Amino acid sequence: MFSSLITVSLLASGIYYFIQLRAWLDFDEDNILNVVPGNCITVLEDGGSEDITHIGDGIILLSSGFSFVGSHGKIKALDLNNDNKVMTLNISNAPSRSDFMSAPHGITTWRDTDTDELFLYVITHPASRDSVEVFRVEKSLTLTYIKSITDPQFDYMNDLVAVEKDKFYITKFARYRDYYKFHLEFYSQRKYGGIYYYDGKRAREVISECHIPNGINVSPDKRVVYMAEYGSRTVRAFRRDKSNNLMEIWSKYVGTGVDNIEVDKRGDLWIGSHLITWKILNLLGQQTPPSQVLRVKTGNKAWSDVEVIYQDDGTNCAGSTVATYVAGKLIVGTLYKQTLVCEVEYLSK
Amino acid sequence: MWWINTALFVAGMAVFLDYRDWLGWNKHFFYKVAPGPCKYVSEDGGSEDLTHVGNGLVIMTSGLYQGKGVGKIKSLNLNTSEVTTMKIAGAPDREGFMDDPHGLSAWTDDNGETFVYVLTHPQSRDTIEVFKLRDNNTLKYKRTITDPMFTDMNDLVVVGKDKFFITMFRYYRGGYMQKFEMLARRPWGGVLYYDGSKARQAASGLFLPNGINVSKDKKTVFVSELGAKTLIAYQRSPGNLLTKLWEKYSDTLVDNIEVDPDTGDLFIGCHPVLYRVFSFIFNVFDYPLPSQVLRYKMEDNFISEIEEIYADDGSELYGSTVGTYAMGKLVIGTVMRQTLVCDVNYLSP
Repeated sequence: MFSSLITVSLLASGIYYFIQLRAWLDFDEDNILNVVPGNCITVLEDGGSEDITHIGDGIILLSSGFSFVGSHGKIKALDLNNDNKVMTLNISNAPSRSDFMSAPHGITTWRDTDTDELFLYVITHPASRDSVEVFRVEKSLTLTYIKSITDPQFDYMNDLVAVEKDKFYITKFARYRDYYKFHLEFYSQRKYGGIYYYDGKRAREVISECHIPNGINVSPDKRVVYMAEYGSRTVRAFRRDKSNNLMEIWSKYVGTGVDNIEVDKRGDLWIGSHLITWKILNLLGQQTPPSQVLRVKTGNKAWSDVEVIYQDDGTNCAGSTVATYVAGKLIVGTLYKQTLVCEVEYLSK
Repeated sequence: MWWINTALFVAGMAVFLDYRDWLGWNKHFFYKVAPGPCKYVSEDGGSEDLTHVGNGLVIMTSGLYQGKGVGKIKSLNLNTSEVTTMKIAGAPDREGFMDDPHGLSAWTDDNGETFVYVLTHPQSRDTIEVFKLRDNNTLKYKRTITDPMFTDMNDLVVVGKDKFFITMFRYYRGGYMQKFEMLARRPWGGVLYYDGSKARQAASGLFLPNGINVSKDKKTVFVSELGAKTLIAYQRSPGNLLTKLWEKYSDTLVDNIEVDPDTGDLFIGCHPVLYRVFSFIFNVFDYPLPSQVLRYKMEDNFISEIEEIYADDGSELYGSTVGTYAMGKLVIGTVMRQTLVCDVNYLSP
């Protein structure tokens, strides 16, 4: 009697877990519809642009060449005012280690208003431990390597946002770097991720128990930190206090695999997202994942509307991870493939 | 015999999951998509079906499911955004005349006279009322058409004087059998052809066929099989027989179809989530009905791409059933509430 009760409960929890996992992996999603805000052109066919950011004057920096098995990547620049030319940035003063610039992931920039220097921080995944590489972006669009930042708390990180020189918030995506353990960690549906604050010397956890945190960014006045939590499909907003701790002010479920966040001048969030998780994880062989760009309108830093500005079944844009809106144009970056520039003919107020 | 139990269990799970997916049980969040600024031209009464008859005049049915004696035909002038109730000259003094007006179809004869055929649901039996368009505000009643084969009809498309294809949404007009027909997904609906004096079967074995329309060259008949979330294209023979050409599944409940006279593209009003439509039909809970308008781009009489032109979670537009594109604007009708007109700032070529 007792043993059959246990069997039934185990069976029931197993079935429940299976149904939840099936939905989480999006095996129940059938159909992707296209949404286009205007004419779109492909400025980069391959190589990916996992994270992008606008540094001013129509120049967009892209981190290109991400891979879970860690090959060498590059930082590229897209010039919106020069016929959408894309060029790879040369790195001077680079360290000689062989795993330098392995699998570049999230990026962030910070401008020193006193000296007008622009710094670029790039999360990279050398086999041993994650390393944030710090560069100065020269006016000639080359990068000068300055230093590498590591910390024992950096397991498998995803994205970061600088709030001061060499001070940033960074998301811990997963605990395990090994490809298979990383997948198992995903299927376990456990909240092993978190947000860390690096104060210039060391990192400390400021938000824990996050379900696969991915993109992170700040409001224009740097008082609110936004995080895209991929696992729970929510966008979360936190207020920063004087000690740089974070306190959650709202959390919005958006039902899609939110990746990186870019914040425009108005404070609205532009998010690249994945509609079908099993396709972006390349389960069942190589897939062509769909793309989606959300615009989360924030009035007074609280969300007001969530719009889909761009969506594609994967034919024109496969695996969008990030998007930014600059002067009437939408730039969409993907994990491994294209980078697109679209005209935006209408944006609601 | 454990394998028989396992096989039954797996089959049972498959049926359960399929039914759950069909209901859209896991769809919790709805985005907004807008092609341009939108405004209400009417806020109540609904506009279940509408069509552009030319020169910016859009005719729509209003008052469905809102009680006896309140059914009307309204006209929208796209140039002025004004909506007026149309006068019916020579209306018969019959109880139930114009009750629950549903699908409509406009047809112009060789002399340039436009006729409007409206499906209504008086208590006794579904009837088609035929009107001649006298001017922007007036319809002249001509005659009534009915047939013993008309059970629970939905929409029609006129192909000649008093000749039309009409969808039989449900075989049962009410009661427990009608509920069973819907919940058990019985394909007991179909398409009838009325040849001027009587109706005959044109297509059968369809599950909740809803909207119906004809291609630019009048050779293809399109039917929205709402229950199966599928658009079906039939070849129309000179003798008005229908042979299935192709079908396309699209994970949304496709309702009324409007055909763009210039490009042949289809604009279809849709209901994204079935369980909410059931909640509306069976009057349980009070979920807002989200809205969606899809554009099926046609190339060589086949679908080349499906775009989402408008989407809403129900707060702006409640339960869209139809959308038409005319004079650079998208006019969207709902079952019982608002009518929206949006500027379309961009439509991909």
